[in-house]
Amino acid sequence: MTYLDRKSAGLGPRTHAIVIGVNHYPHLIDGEGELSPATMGLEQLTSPVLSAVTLSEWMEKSLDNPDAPLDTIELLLSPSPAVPSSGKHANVDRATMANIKAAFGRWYNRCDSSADNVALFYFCGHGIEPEGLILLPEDFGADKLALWDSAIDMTRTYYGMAECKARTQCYFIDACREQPIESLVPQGVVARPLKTRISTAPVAGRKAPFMKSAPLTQKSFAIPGQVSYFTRALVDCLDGLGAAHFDSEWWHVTTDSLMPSINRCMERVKLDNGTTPQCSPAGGEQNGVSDLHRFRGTAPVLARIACDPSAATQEADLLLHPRDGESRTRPHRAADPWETVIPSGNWRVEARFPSGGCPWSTKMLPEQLVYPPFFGPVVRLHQRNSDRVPGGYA
Amino acid sequence: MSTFRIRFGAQTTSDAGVPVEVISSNSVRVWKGILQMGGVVSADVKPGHYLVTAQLPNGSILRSQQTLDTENSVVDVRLVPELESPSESMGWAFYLQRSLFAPRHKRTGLRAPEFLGAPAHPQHSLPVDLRVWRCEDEEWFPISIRVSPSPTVDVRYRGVVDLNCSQLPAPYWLQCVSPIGSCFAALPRSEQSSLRAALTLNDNGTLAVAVGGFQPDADALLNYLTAGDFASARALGPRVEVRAEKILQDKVRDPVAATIAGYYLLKVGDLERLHDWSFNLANWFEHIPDGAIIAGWHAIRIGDPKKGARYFAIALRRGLPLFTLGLQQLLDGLLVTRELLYQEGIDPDDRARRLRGYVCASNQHSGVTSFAAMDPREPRPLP
Repeated sequence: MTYLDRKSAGLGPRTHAIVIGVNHYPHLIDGEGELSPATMGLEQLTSPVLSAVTLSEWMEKSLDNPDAPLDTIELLLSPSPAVPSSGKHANVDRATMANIKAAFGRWYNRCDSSADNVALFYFCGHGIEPEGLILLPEDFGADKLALWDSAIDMTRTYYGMAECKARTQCYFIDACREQPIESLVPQGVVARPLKTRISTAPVAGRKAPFMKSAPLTQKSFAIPGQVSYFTRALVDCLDGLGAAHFDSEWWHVTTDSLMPSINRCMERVKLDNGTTPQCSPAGGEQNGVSDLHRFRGTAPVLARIACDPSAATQEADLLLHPRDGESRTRPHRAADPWETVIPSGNWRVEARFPSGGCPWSTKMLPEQLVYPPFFGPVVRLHQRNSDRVPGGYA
Repeated sequence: MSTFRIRFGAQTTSDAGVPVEVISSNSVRVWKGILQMGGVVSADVKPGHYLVTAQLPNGSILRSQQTLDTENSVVDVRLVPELESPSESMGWAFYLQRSLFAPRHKRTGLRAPEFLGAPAHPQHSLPVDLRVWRCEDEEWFPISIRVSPSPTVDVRYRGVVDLNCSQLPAPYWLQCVSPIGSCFAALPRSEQSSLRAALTLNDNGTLAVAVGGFQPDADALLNYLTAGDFASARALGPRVEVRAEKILQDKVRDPVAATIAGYYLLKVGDLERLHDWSFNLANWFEHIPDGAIIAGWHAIRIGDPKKGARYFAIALRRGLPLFTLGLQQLLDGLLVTRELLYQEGIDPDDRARRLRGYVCASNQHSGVTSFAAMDPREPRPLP
């Protein structure tokens, strides 16, 4: 059953989305069903349903693309029995292979109705990549005799989708891309594409970024029970951090600007072991640029303020002063540069130091125009004795 | 109108092009163009306050706020990076190559590559042996050959190694062996220029090698593409594409830029504009496996998957792709044409499995294929 249908498909190009989130795998570790003969060490998840709902709700409330307004969302969720979906998500279809194929078919047919449609595909759940990228629906492992019949071959699906008329297609895959030993079977893993290439006719180029939350062979990350890092970055970038340009009335998020922005957001994440998760650096083909979303007002911009020398970063009170409005202060002193998000516009940066016992003088940088995607000034300081600037300002 | 004369404000021997934009005080982009790092570009705009900004292939953004007071005024703009390369000769590696795993810069706490042998980091000098290998038909052969200045080089206090490889048989690879590990990097041969290699340390203490020095715009384009910065690639791509077309039409022997342009058209541009030259690239330059990968995808796009499968099989025989972009493209190509390859008597699964071993060990942010291994037949997954 289609989750959202605004029934405006006949009125011109439209955006159609399919959004899938899978927490519950009855045939994987700690599931209540009979264990799959190949669990590949995969357990139950806690983030994908919330992540899928977060993206779906953002699209429903905020997505604004005048070239292709949002018309439908196919939402499929597999929450765990312990934490079922509630409210308007209580009755959405579960993300089984049969339901995904049915929803995908509806989605494909809608997208295929016009070259100017925008097709959005999102999956969050277990993934593996023994050869191509494989996504696991809820019922993976239910059929022990044909294990891979309940697994989605996403690589071939992507290339099969070249035949869909919609020339703008975005794929967001929030899943691990490891190669489990159990998937190294002699005949290879033959999962099922949701769309195969059926014609030998030439296909036109498409604007089809293929964004994956992890590089090949690596894991995707989330704090348990929270929206995953990748989906958080995706929603934030759609919502403004991915703004490409301003046309004097609207900011535009485009197929080109989204992936570099997501990468910049992900570079800010620190895992427990101190490392930073990486997205897949590049994927898919992008034959041209399409707008995905627009918004008014100011654009949020990733900002990073550092001092030179870095020892001063730890000692400084760092402040950001907008031309209009309230100043912002770094919440606490730290050795690392201050990373925050501020609205585009005119800002001054200040590094303030106590008046006694500190080798540096307070310094205010001239006002600067802050513009997406990034603002990263370095406050260069001199030792107080060599400054000799009255009033404490250099 | 008034004019900004924009130049890159740091020392580098690279003349790569980078996209530049001029943004008005109300945040509207009023001009965009390409700045050669060794040159000057003029932007004509009305008097006013502006932000001039450029995005380097290494991911950093340069910015300068400027005012044009009066009509017909001219203002010089220097776009100075927050962090500068430790030396002019390392500029190509510092500004063009992404180094996500770079350590924190000691002075500012920002991430910046630490070059082995750079004067700023003498503590990181350690002996490195350089060796050259040839890879053909999936076999690896060590080559006894003179690499300038010598086949085994102590890079202490030198940093950048210039490789005059024009006489080498190809495809060939550089191995860098040090007490902290060993890594390999492809040497995409171009007869028109020598290659350069720079060695860096990752934040986890492992060794990384950057290779560059081919046609400067192609060098920058490759790194934009590898990083997924399609907007910048789109700005720079047409120049490389025009050059690549000339290369293949005129049979000028500089196929490296043509290969990068082929990836550009495959990923970002209009594949139809490849005409037949992707097949020429594959057929004329056997030492570049990537040509066959591009031709394979071109064939699939124009509706000839059998031809595509044949080119993927050719690519496999020619050895590892020289560019990281090709690793994923080849894996995907083998999967998409799997049944056709079986019909041709080729086991794509077995080949793909071996190829994946290299992918696991590769630095996926490097433009040129590089992977960690002591023995090239046994790539080691990165930690």
